[in-house]
Amino acid sequence: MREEGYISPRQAAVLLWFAILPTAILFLPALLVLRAHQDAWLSIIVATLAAGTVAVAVYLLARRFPHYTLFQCCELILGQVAGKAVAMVFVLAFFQLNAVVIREFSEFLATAVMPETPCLFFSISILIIAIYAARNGLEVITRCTDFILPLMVIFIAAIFLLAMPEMATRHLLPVLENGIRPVLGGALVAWSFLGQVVILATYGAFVNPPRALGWSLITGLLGIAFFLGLVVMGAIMVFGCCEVERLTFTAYDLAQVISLGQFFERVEVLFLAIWVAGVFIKITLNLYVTALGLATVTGLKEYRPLVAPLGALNIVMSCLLYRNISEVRQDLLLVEPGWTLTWQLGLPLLLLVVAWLRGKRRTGA
Amino acid sequence: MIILIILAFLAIAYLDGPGLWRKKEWRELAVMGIVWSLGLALSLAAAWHWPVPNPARILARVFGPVTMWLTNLIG
Amino acid sequence: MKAWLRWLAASLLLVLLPALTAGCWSRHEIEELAVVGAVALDAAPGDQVRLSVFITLPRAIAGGPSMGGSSGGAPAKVGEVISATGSDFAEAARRLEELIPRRLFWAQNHVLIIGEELARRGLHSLDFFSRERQMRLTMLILITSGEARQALDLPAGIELGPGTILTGIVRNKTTFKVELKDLLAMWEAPGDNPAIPRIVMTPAGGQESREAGGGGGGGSKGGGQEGGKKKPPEAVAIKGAGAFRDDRLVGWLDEKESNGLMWLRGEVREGVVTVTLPGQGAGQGQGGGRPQDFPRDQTRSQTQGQASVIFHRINAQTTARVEDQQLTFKVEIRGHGDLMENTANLNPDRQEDLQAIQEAVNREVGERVQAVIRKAQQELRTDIFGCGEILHRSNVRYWRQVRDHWNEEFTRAQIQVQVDLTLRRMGMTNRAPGKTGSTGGKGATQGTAR
Repeated sequence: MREEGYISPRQAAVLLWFAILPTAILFLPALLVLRAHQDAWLSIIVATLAAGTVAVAVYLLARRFPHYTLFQCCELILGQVAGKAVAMVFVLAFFQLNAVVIREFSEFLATAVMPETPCLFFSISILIIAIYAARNGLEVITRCTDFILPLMVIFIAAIFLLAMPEMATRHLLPVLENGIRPVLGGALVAWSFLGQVVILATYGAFVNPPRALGWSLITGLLGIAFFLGLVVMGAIMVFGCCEVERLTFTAYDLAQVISLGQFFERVEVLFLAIWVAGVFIKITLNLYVTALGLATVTGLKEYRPLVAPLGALNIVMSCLLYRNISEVRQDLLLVEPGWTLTWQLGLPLLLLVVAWLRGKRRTGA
Repeated sequence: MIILIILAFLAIAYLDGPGLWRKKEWRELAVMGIVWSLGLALSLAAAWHWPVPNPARILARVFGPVTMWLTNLIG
Repeated sequence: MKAWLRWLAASLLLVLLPALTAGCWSRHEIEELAVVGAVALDAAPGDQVRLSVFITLPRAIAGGPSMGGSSGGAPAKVGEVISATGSDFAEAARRLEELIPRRLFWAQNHVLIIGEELARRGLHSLDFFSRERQMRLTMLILITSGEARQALDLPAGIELGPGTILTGIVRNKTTFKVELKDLLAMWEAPGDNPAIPRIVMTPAGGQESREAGGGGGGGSKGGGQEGGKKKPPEAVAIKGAGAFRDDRLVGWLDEKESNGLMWLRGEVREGVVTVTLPGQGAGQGQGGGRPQDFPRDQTRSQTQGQASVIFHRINAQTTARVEDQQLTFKVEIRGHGDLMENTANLNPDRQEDLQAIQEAVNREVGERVQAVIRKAQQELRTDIFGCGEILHRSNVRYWRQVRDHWNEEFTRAQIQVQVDLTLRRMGMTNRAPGKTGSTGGKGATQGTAR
């Protein structure tokens, strides 16, 4: 199905930031440091390069099939049956991703802020807003980001700058203590977050002009790497890598150490507000993409009726997926890298190769 | 709890269902109905603590070894 | 029909919405909270721990200390100290809540004081303080010999509660500062061991006194209520430090040694070094021979005196070197100081006098650093300098060989100290006050001072 609105390349890049950063800055650093220790920032560079291959695949697909979403490309390239099957895999993958994000969101709030509130309450309240936003279409979601983006960017930068007095660059040494392998292992973990740039293949169809998609991808990916690197490096320099490993919600702890002249303290509450707004965009975008994909696969004219039931299903799924928070973390460390590599890198590359072999393109549209 | 779940799902159905019915968009209605009933069934199962096959467990079964292999390969 | 349904849905939503949104589960009004202003951790008999908290009384803070004075002589009480024992701190904290009518609120807590006995048992019980979501990673960690709880009984002075008193003292930068996150980092790094500033209470009266309830089960109220039974400390000072091996307290550093530690770790901020300068030959011949030279006081030429120099920021750099299995650390301490006081008969305008002060300062700092090195290597046998991490950063291969028995290896390492401090500014005056010499005279002083 088709969406009527269009977004600018800049907005597409910003959406990409929101599709990855909010949960990544919170959950990734501890896991990354567990693998790569003080070289975690190198892992981010490696993972960014790896995610660059996805970006290239997305870009090439978009050049072959401008104005077509990833789900439509599947059918165009692989034919109806196989195409629908692959598109369904994407839909399920985005659905599962969203369930994990919702779970991460509510687990964090329940742990760090309101332990007495049932976890379900957080997921339901954010999903109500997300459903409302997603039903209004992509343009509305992007306009939300216009408001939240400055807050988020300023805040991440401010956290880094204000935590600077607590930082010591010596914590980043020695570089490559155990060779390159821990760095690659860390990159594998970081990958499962950064590989989500594949989401641009879906809403990228509504970017106008389509040839600017490359710019969106590059800016998006570099921005993500930059902010993620800022948080990871900041955390390592403040706490030392042994300690970051222990801090489950790293960015939150980083906000907690900020103290400016005895009165500007406890900014983590501010962090929380902005972070929730960021996660809201992330969840909304994933929900929108899932509904859009399901509508495409089943050949509907409208994705809107699917948003609310999918959201409800997402909540249930987020509760059913894991029994406790350490299962979430374990999953992010031990399962997600393989799974995300498959659907975020493997499948787009497969599509691209098949399209190239069969000489399919739809540039005239 | 059960009543709340049913109420919530009725509200979701009311959101789009009647409109689709009037416009006779049966396909939309069918897909939505499937997702909706899946959600309702899972919610009720969760509320009654019925065992439900866990997708995360399935993913872990398949992709855990893949990740392990990748990790051993490069990291 | 349609409109009617819509109305029903809307009103249902209106009814449900406030219940869902406004009724936060985790909401706590400030009147329901007991704001913890300082925490003291002690060991209790039978492998238990005792948690004591200073709870700020909001009325007393609002009223100020003068309010208490009006109510008849007794010093204003701004808070209440309560303690409870438990097999861990979470249990003890829960027992505290059995004793008070409010919920404990930890987020305003800035100070954590560890008692000696608990520190000797090990720091592993500190987990609660980094896991509990309200805790600040920036809270100050202090250690005391004897009972930590006593530090909470500090009488209100310039500041009201023990928390503000102790943070205020630390903010004066006379000692180094260890926050919870620093402690955790020092403790967790394989090549580092914690050292925590020490509180000394005077008079240390009632050192052995126990709280009324004793060990065992529930805690008991103490502090002000006990009054006559326990003498609260009159004043407090933060000097010296407790040195740890891994997570256990192994010994104390005295004031000089802990100062040396600060120099070695480069953590000196506003560090003052006072040196005694020998009475000099009062520039005989020099003053007379070179009338244009800067004068000294001639009246007390033979007496010795002191000079104090303040260093606002120093730079200590430690490098590790391994030469045929001999590990050598080289510490280079650099910094620029300002002269604060000069009672010696020296005129810092004269380069040789300046050199004399400078050399004496360098010697003094070197001695302090050597003192703490001796103590750490020979007596405590623990690397409180983080030398292991320095080795780790510069020579990973050698580090891997010694990592598992680092503290023993550390005692065999050679540590060379090179102090290179310079005196840069003199403050608002130049020479020490007093009559200048017969040859120089007042006229000469004025002449040279332009």
